[in-house]
Amino acid sequence: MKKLILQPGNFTPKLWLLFHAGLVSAFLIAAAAGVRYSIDTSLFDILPSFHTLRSAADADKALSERTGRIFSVLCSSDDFAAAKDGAEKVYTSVKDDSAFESVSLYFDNEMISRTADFIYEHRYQLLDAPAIAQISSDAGAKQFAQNALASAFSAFTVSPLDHLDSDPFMLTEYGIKKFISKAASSGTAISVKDSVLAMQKEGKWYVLLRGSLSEEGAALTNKSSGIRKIYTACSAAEHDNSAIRYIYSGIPFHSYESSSSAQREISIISTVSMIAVIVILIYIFRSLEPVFFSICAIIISLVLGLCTTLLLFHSIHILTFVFGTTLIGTCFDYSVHFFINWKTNLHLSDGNEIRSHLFRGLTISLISTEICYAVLMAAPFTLLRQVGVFCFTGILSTYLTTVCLYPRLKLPAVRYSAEIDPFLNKLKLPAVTATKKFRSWFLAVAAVCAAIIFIPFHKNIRIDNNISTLYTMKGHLLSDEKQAASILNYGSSGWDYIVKGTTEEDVLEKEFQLTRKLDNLMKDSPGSSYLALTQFIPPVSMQEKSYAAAGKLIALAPQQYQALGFSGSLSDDLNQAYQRQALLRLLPDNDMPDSIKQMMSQLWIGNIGKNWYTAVIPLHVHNETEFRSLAADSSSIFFINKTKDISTQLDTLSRIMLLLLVLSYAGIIVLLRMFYPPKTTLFIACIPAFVMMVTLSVLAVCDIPLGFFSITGIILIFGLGLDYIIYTVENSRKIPSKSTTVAIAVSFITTALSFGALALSTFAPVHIFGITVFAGLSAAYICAIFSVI
Amino acid sequence: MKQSHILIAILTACSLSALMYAAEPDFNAVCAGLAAHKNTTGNFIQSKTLPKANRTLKSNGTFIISTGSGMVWNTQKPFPSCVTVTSDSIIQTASDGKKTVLKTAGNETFTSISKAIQSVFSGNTDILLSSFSVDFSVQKDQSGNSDIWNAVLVPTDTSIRSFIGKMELTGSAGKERSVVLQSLKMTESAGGTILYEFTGQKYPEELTSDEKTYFTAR
Repeated sequence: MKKLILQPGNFTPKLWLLFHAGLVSAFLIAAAAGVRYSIDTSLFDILPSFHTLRSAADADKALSERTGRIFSVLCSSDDFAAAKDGAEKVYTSVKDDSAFESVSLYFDNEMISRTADFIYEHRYQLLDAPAIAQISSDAGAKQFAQNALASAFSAFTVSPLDHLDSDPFMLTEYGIKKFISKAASSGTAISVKDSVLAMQKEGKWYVLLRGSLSEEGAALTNKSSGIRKIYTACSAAEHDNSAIRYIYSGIPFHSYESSSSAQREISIISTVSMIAVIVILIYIFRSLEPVFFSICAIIISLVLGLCTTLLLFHSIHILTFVFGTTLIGTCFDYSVHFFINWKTNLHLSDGNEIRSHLFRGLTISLISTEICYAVLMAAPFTLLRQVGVFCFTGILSTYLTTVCLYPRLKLPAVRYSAEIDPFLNKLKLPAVTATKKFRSWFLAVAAVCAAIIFIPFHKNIRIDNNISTLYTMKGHLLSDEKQAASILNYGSSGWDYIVKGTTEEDVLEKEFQLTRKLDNLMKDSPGSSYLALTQFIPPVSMQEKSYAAAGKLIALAPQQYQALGFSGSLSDDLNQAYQRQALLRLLPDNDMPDSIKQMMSQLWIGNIGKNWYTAVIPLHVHNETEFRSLAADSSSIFFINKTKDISTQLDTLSRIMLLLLVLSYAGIIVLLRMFYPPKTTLFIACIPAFVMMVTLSVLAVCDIPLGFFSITGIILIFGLGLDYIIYTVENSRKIPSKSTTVAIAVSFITTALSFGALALSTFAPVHIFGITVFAGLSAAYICAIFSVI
Repeated sequence: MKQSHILIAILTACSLSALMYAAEPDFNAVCAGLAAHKNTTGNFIQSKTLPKANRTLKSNGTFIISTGSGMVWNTQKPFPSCVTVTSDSIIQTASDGKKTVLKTAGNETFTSISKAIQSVFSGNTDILLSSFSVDFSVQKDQSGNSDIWNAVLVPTDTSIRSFIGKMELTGSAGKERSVVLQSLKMTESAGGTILYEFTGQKYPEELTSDEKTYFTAR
């Protein structure tokens, strides 16, 4: 059966059409059925979902998506009015733009009044634990009432006494004081001045503009990019007034810079690779025809890879394209092998003969390569799966183009032998010139050299993934973030908790329990604090206790009104108002004033699936172990240190991938054994070990740890590098043809150009991936040219 | 929200209560001449008018102003309480002796008021004038022996103005060129007023140890 399928004659244009039309149709049908395809550009999207519990990971992702869109812009100037004016100009420019979900500059009287009104309306529900404890006793309730009278007659209250007739115990005043105190301890060092948030430091004024990008505006690389609009507005304002300067802070700015950089790199890498390859091919073929068909094959494979990836994932990450540019090199291999024979192998008289000549080598090569891409598709990491699908489909497309369509091409009118071509003959390729003895010595010396390099640097070979090294802030963004941190002094540690509950009430309750533990942990750490929703919206159980405690005060209303000089009849009104609030419960989804909404936006995750989630952010804290331990025994509280957790997860993932590498190695050996005798299989199977040693040596010398991206590269080396050996072995089984040797050389050069270009990338994962594959493929090629059996 | 209109009134009132009359009873001269007193103590009567509740709350007590430490507002009747304002906090002592500390360090609204006060004590009217628009007037009292001066201060900062519409300070300048702040009337943006009437001002060189304890939060 296998032989029936893998017969060259079975690979017809109909098969090619069926495969390509099938996938493209499925893609279009899904689009017509309402599937929305998108391109991901967020830096965080490339990272694996690090939490083992899916629900917590989803909650974290939801929170990251929201907080990942929040930005801050500080307008600085020696003069406050100029700084405020600069902030106002940007605010006016962007506030109504659909690229922004919200933009806030003013902290005005209306915002303050709404907060005060909110606290007044919920005054019976918002008493804190100390107040509830005090009021619970008769003596305590009387003292609380007495203190309220003292406050009313004192020189200082934080709120107007407008509601004194309906709030004689000044519960609103108590609530506002607590709100101010909590907001001050968990907020930034910046405060209200002249209706905006401002701060003076070292002689300069800083006015804060905050906002959140909309989904449209977060599409970082198109014209709707909110960040681009901010830059444009700020640039115009700076042009108008050279005395002001803007400081940018927040993930969106970094995502914008990195994705713009990635886009630029893709353009440069693709263009340079393509031009170099085209120049080489034109020179070798002296004809545009093979170049044209090769480029068509690549474009088709890229489009099909894109369609298939979108069809399966509904989105594709921008970095998948970066990795996907390797297709340019690898897809050329098949075309090059065909067209070199098409042009120079005078023993073959038509396309079908060329196909038959190449079929076995191409097919073994395809299967070994696809095994490696299939391993990528099995990785628990969306970006890798996307790369796997993208390249798997793309390679298969080119293979089918080579074996289904190319044989239909007429042979060129002018053909020449590779042996007599003046340039190709000058190449002095070892497959033709070197002796077997020389080859053996060469390989032995190369192995010893690799070992000599390997031994002193072997300590550099370690599994180590540190995602903080993947993106390095630099330039104005680095200095801006440093300056913003010193001004805002937010104090985020980079850790947080995610709290899970079955209902809104449940999640608040669990968060409240956590905050009590945090209070206990922080009691000896002055300056440390946290940001939590229950600081502003107590759990329902607390609200009920608060309401019950307030009932004790209601009983004291007649005396209180008398002391304040009001009519005693107000007591009845007060009691009725109190009774009406018996069932009033405050929950996060209620309408909130903007001051609380802004804080909630960083914390409240809401409903995902069957559960509700919120986040708690410790501030100005250092001892991670202590804070991590608070979540250790809970199935509802998850401690998140994203940088560390993801790095640890990537370490685990790297080990899994090494295991997958061993599996794919075993799979390839089985495949080879199906086609070759044991001795040949053993010989070919030894080559990857040598390639691995060389690659590890290069990584060790470059002090690149064995991480997720280098291991990804090594997996690809196995598939791609083996191609050269397989072609060489296949060639040596017949009458050795210079055409095949040239084809391998050209294949290597084109592929090396692609991966070599990636090694020049400034984006660390791409650079590591490129340098790994380039080093490995070079070693594989060297092995291949000395591997004649 | 972090600053009270009352706080601002108190701070401003206290700052101006320490003014000493200089050569002419104009605002600059008053500010410059009255910068000499390190400490001021005295009595106050406070009347809070609440138009919405149709009530006026009256209270009285003593006050302390110290240029180095801050100020104390010690209400004695009808319900005792104490408010101490320092450069970085507001300490409230309830009738049961329990203290509540509200940290205000880094708060721009508070800082701007604080600077304004310091500018008065240091005779720097530039900063005071940059924080408020000032309408200053002088007239002779009925005996003709003293000048009665009146200063209406309107905050230029919209955040402060959202609490306080204006502050009206009234004082006298005697023949010995001494200046006494007699009253402060603060009009809230919501319409309510708070009137402080000051009597028995003294200017001790040093505060007593009991007076100094008001400035500690413990």
